[in-house]
Amino acid sequence: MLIYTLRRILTMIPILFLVSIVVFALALAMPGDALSGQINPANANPEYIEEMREELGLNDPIHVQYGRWIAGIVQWDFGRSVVHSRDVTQVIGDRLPNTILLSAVSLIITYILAFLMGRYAGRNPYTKGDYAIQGTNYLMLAIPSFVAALFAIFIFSFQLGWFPSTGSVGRGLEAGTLDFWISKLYHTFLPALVLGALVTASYTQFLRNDIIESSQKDYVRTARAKGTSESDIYNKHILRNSIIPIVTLFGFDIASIIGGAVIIETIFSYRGIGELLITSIQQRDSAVVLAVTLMLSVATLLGNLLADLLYGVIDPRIRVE
Amino acid sequence: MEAVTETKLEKQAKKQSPWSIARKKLIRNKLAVISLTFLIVVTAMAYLAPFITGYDPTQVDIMNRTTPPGEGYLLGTDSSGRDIWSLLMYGARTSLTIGFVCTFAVILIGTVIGSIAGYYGGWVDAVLMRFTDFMMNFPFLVFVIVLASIFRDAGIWALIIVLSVLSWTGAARVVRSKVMSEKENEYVMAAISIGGTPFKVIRKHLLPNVMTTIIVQATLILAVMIVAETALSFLGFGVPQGTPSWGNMMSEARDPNVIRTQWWVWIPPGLAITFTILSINFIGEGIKDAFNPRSAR
Repeated sequence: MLIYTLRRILTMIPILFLVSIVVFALALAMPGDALSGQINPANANPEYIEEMREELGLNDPIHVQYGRWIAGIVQWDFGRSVVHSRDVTQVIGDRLPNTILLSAVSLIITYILAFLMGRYAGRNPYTKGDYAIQGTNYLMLAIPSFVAALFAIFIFSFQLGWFPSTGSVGRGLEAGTLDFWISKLYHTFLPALVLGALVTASYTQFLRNDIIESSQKDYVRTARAKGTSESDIYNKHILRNSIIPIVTLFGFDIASIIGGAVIIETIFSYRGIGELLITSIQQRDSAVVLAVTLMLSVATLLGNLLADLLYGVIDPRIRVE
Repeated sequence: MEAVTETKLEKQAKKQSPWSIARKKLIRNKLAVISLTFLIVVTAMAYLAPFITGYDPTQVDIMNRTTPPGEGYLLGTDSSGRDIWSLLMYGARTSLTIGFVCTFAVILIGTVIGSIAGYYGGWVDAVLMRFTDFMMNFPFLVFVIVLASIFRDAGIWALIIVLSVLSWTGAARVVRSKVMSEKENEYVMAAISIGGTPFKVIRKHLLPNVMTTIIVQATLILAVMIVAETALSFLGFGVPQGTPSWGNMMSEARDPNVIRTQWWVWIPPGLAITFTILSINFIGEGIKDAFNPRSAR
């Protein structure tokens, strides 16, 4: 397992290098100066731009620029945000906790819902409850997240008034107090629920089918023959086997949440990384766009790595190539 | 007497090609048939829009902005006084066309790369698959948004190219693994031994047998592409504003006031997208089931 882990981490290095080159190419194509964020895109005076380009070294050969950019990143320097007049690391640092909270709450809701619904549908297949859950699943798999978000806001925020429709925290609350955190969770619940809907549906479906399949297996028949109670069979024998494959998908969840968060945060005006990406693109704040893109790419890469490693833990055949 | 029944059976057996069995199974699948009918009707309405609606979707009626459904307009008007019903049909045309074109491109790229990698194996396979893995590592939506914002002025074709170039990896993997298992069969060896060129063996012998996998994959991709287009247009990075598309119609709902008070502006396109995706999913499952010899339907 150790050798497998090390090998898998080592293969990350060339991929990281290639990803950085792709992101760098994007930076050159972006308006303004994405590498350091010093040129104000609002100022279109050609003399000013030429002067700044010369000063910032944007007329240097490309490999020199790339080297300078990578050296900066290694030293945790992502340039400056023109719009916020602050370092990009600070701008992102302000938003990151919100996105992490949203993702964590989303995953927790996903796992709880999928566990409860999948277990119920798996234990009572082809009943009314099962059909209701399956119907919901098909709908959740089909509805795009932004449409689901709008319906959720319309129903739960405006018609029922249960949850706030925008923002990540209530106004006038002091950071760190208990009220502040409660308000934060309250604001996070609805976007987190919508963000997890797709994954919830696929996990529920997976768990249901796996439980039904397992209940026909020999070890379950043996357990029944020995007089094990029905609830013990389902909770101790079947569930443990069925849950393992879902746990290995945790890494892929990270990747899918990253894409979803961009849309969901924008709709709910939730002050996280995804919303920052969209507003920065609109305000042509290229340095922030570049840093967020790089960060999300690396996060996806790590998510995939984690998925592979977890899979290796579960299935020993994966480890030997 | 016996001989007669035998020939009848033989005839019946001859008629039962895998495709005709699958077709029969598919027709018996009610959900798939209803979905297919729905998709055909929506597509027909999209491309025959001028014959169905009297209103021009880009025509602005200043006197009747945000009219609720009923009064003169079947589904009301949006904030610039455009007729929602005609926008819906012309929007379907844009969204479905982008979906179909992207799906075609994705399947083409995926099939070419997947079948070459699967057929040749060895270093060709290694290089192509490492490249595929590499492309899979990017967060799809983030890259589509960033690229679409860079090529924003280039119009619909730039969007189609960006979407296609970033989404062929899944199809390539599936086709590759299917080709790899298929090429172990004797008929492929026979085709090669009588001097069939790789291109001919792939096109004439392997691809027809991989076809069902490709068709199922295409339905999945079609759904993903329609969602991607509408989501991008909703965020303002997709189809140019002013061009009717389901996503552009939804983008009015980025204003919370529209969500709250003008439900007729965003609910119709929202439902149209959802039901289209739902029907595509059911068709895909129906096809998968129809070609699965183990399914008992």
